[in-house]
Amino acid sequence: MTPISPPAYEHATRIRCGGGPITEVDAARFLTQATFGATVDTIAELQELGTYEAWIDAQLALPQSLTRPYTVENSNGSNRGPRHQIFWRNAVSGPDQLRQRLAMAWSELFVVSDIDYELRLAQYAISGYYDMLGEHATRTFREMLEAVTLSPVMGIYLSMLRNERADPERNVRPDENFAREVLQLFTIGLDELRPNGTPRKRKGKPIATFDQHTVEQFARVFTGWNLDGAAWVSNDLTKFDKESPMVAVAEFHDTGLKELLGASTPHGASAEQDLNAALDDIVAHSNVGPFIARHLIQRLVTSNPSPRYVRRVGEVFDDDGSGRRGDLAAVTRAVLLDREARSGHLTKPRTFGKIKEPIMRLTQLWRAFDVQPGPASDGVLKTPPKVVDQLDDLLGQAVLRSPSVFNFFLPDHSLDSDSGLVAPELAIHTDINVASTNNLLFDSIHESNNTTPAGQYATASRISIDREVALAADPADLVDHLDLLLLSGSMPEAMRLALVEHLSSLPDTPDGRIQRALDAVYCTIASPLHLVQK
Amino acid sequence: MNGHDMSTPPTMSRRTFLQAAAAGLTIASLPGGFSDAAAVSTGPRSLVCIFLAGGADTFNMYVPLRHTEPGQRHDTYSATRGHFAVPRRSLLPVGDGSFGLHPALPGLAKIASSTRTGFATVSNLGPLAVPIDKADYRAGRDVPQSLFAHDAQQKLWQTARSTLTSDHGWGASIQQAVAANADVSPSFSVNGTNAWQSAAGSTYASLSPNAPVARLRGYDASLRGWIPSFEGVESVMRTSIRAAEASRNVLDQAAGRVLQQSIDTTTALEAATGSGADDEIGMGDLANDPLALQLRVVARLVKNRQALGMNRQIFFVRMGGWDTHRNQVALFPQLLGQLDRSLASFQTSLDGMGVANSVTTFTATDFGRTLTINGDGTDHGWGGHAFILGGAVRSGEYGVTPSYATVNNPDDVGDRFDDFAGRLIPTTSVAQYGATLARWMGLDDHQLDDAFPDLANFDRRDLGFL
Repeated sequence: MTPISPPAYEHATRIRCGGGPITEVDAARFLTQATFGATVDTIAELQELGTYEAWIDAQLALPQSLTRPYTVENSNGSNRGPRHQIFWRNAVSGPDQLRQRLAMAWSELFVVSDIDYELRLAQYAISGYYDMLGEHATRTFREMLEAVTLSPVMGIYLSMLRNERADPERNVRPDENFAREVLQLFTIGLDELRPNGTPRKRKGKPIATFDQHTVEQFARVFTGWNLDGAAWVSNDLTKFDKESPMVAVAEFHDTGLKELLGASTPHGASAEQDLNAALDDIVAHSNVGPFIARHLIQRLVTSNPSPRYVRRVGEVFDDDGSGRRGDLAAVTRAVLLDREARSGHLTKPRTFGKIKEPIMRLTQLWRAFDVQPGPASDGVLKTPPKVVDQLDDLLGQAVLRSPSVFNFFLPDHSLDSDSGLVAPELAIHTDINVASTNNLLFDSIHESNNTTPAGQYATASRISIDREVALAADPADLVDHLDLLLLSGSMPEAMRLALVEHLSSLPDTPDGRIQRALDAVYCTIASPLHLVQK
Repeated sequence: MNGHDMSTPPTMSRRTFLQAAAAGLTIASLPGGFSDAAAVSTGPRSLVCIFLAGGADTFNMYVPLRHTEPGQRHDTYSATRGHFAVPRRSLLPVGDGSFGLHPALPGLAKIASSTRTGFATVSNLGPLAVPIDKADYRAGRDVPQSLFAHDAQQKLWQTARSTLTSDHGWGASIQQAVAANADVSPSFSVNGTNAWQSAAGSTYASLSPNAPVARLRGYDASLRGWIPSFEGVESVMRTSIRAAEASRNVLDQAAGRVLQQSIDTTTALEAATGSGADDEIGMGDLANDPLALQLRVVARLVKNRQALGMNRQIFFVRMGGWDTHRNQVALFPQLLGQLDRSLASFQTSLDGMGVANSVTTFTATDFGRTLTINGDGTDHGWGGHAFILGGAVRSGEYGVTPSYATVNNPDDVGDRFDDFAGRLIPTTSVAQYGATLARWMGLDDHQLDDAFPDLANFDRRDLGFL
C-alpha cells in the first residue's frame, strides 16, 4: 500500500487554518483533539515541528501499536483483561497517538462488543478487529467497510455469519440484522442528507434513505458466508478460526436479482460478486461523505460542527484531490486542519466544543503526569479499586464493550431541551459515572503522595507531580501551567483567582508545596471545565 | 373518550374483590369505580419499567392455549412458528388456562397463580397513534415513523408517540405530574440514559448497579483527614461550577450542571441509603445477574422511599440481549430464565418488605419480533406482548389477542412470504398502556391527555389491569 503523497492533502491545506507559529495554547488544543492528552514534551515537539501537517504526516508514518500480540500472549482467549491492559498502555504511552485515537473513533462507528456472549470468548479476534480498524485509518472507506463486513467478529455480532437464503418450506427468511445496521449506523443513516450534513426535506419532512424493502434486498445479498474451515452447521464456534475473513458458501447464497440503493445486482451472481456490488453501491451514496465527516468531527473536535465544516470535510471524502473517494487519511487531515477545528473556540465561542469521553479524562491525567505502573504490577496499569479492565464500572465505557451496537451514546443525544444542539457524550455522564470518575481521578492523584504503598496499593499506578511541586512556590505559575496542560488555556478568570488564593493560603514549605500541587491538580481536573474540550 | 370500556372484563381475582368490597364499592360499580378509588389513595407508589432491549420475542413468552378463534388457536401459532413454537404440553397454564407461559418462566407462573400478586398480560401492543388496518398500512396512512429500527422504536415506546419529534418521555410526564417539587428526583434509572425518563426541565438520577453511591471526593467532609485543606478545595470547586454555568459556551454550562447534579444526587442518596442491611432486601443469591443487580438497587430505594421523602417513585431498568436474529433456540430460554429469576427474586423482596401492593412492574421492548423465522432466529416486528405484575394488578388477559396465521392475517402487515410477513399491526397502543399505568400513579384525565396526546384516538383510555 503506497503511502499517501503530499498532493492528496493539498486539497485539505487549501483550507486556511491560520498562519503564524503554533502557540502553546494552539498546541495543547490540537493535541487534545489528535491524541489521548497533551504533555509538556508533546506540546514542545509540535511547536518545534512548526506545522500541524508535518505532525500528522510524522504520526501516520509511525508503526502501529497493536493490541493483538499482547492479547495472544497474555490471554487464554476468553480472559478479557489483557486486551484492555494493552489498550490503556497504547493510549497512554504509544508513540502513534493519532492512529490510536482514530482506532477508538472508528470503533465507535463500526461497533462490536464483547458483551455479546460469543465474542467474549474470542478475545484474540476482537483485538485483531481493533487493530484492523486502526490500520484502516489510513486506507479507503471502501476497504475499511469490506474488512468490517467480512470480519467474523462482525459476522457474529450482527449475525451475517451463516445467513441463509430464503427457504419457504421451513418458513426461513434471510437475517436482516447486518443489512439494516450497515446502512443505518455505519454508512448512510436514516435520512437523506445534503452535502453539509443537514437533512433534505420534502414538504417539511425528512426523506428516508431506505425502507424495509431495501433492507430485505441487502439481507439477501449478505447470504452464504461462513467461518473459514468450518462446516455450515455447528453449535460451538469456539474452536473455529474467527480471525480470517469469512468465506462464501455458494449453496446458501441467494443468487437472485436484488435492488440496492442505486443499482441492482444481476441474477446469478456469486456471493462475492454480490457483496462487492453491494459495498460499491453503499459507498457511492451521496450521504456517506457527510455522514462519515460528521462522525469523525464529533469524535475528535466538536459535537455541533457548522454545516460548512461538514461540507468541506465531506468534499474531501468525495475526492481527496487525486480523484480517490473515501481516502480516510485525507479526511482525517481535513477534520483536524480545518479552520473550525483550529479556531472554532474563537469564531464560535457559544457552541464550539464537545464533552470529553471519560476514557480521555483519565488518559489525559496519566499522560500529562507520566504515569508508571506500580512496582508489583508486572507492567500493568491499575488504579485501586479496579484494574484497567474493570474501569468501565467507574468510567462508564471501555473499548469494544458498549451495551449495544449503538455505542455508548447516540450521535444525536440532545444537549438540552430547546437549543437543538447535541452533546452525545453527555449520555454517558450519569450522576454516578461523574462521581465515580471524579473519585477515580482523585485517588489517582493522591496515590502519588503515598510514600508507603502496601497491599493493593503496591500495584497501583503512580503519576508524578514532582514538576508541579517545584512550581508550587509560585501559585500563579503553577495554575497557568495546569491550565495549559489540562484545560488548553480555557480556565475562567474567577476560577483562576479562587485557586491561586487557595494555594497561596497553604504554607510555602516542602509539605505545603506538595499539598499545593495535589490540590491544584485535583481542582483543575475535577472542575467542570475539564469535562469540556474546546 | 371517558369511561372504561370493559367489554372484555378482566379476570377478577379474589384479592381485588375483597379489597373493593372493603372500600365499600358494589360489584356493579367496580369497573370504573375501583380505579378511581385507587387513584385517590395517598400511600406511596412505585412504578418499575423493565425494558427488554433489542426487541424481545414476546410472542413466545405467553402463548394462547385455549383460544378457539381462527388464527388464535395454538395449532395455528404452532404452524407459523415452526420449530420455534412452544408445544402445548410445555406451556405453563395461567389463570383460567386460556394462555400459558413459556416453560422457562416458572417463577412468573408461580406469581401468576398466587393470590397475593396480580399478573396481567397485554397482547399485541406497540406504538400507534390511531387504530389502523392493513389497507392503511399499505397506503402509508398514520404509520409510525421508522418502524423496525431499534433506536427509533425504543424512543416511540418511551415517548408513547408515533413520530420521533417528541423528547418527552411518559415516565417523565408521570414524574412531573406527581413529584414536580421534589428536592431529589424520585425518578431513577439503573441502566443509563433513556427517553422514558427524559424531558425538558426534569431530571432523573442515573445509578450504577455495580458502583456504590459515593459522594464526590472534594465535597465529602468525611475526607477531611485525607485532604487537610478540604474547605479551601471545596470552595474552589464551587467557584469553578459557578464559572462554568456562567460561561457563554453551552458545553461549559452543561458540564457545570452535570457536575452540580451529580453532587446533589450522590449527597442525598448516600445520606438516605447508607450501606444498609441487605438482609431485608435479600436478592443475594442472584448477585451476579445484571438485571437482578439493577432490581436490587430498586428494592433498596423502595425500602428507603419514606426516608427519602418520596411518595411516588419511577424506576427504569434494562435487560439486553433480546435481539435474537440468530441462535434463538438456545438463547431465548436463557434470556427468559434470567428474566424470570430476577423478577421472582425482586417480587419476593417486595413481599418481604410488605410493599408488594404499592409497587407495579411492567415490561416494555423495542418491538415484538416476526412470527415467521429466519432460520435460526427472528427479525424485527412491531406489535408484541407485555406483562405487568404487582399487588395492585388485576390478573387476566388484556388487549386483543392477534391472529398468528401466516395467510389471511388481518393483523399482519403483509402476506405470506411477501414483504413484511410476520409483523403485526398492534391492536393496542402504547399510549393506552402507559395511560393505565400513569393513572395508577395518580394522573388525572387532564394530565393523561397531556402526557398521551394520542389517547383521545382510542376508545379505551384505561386497559383495566390496575
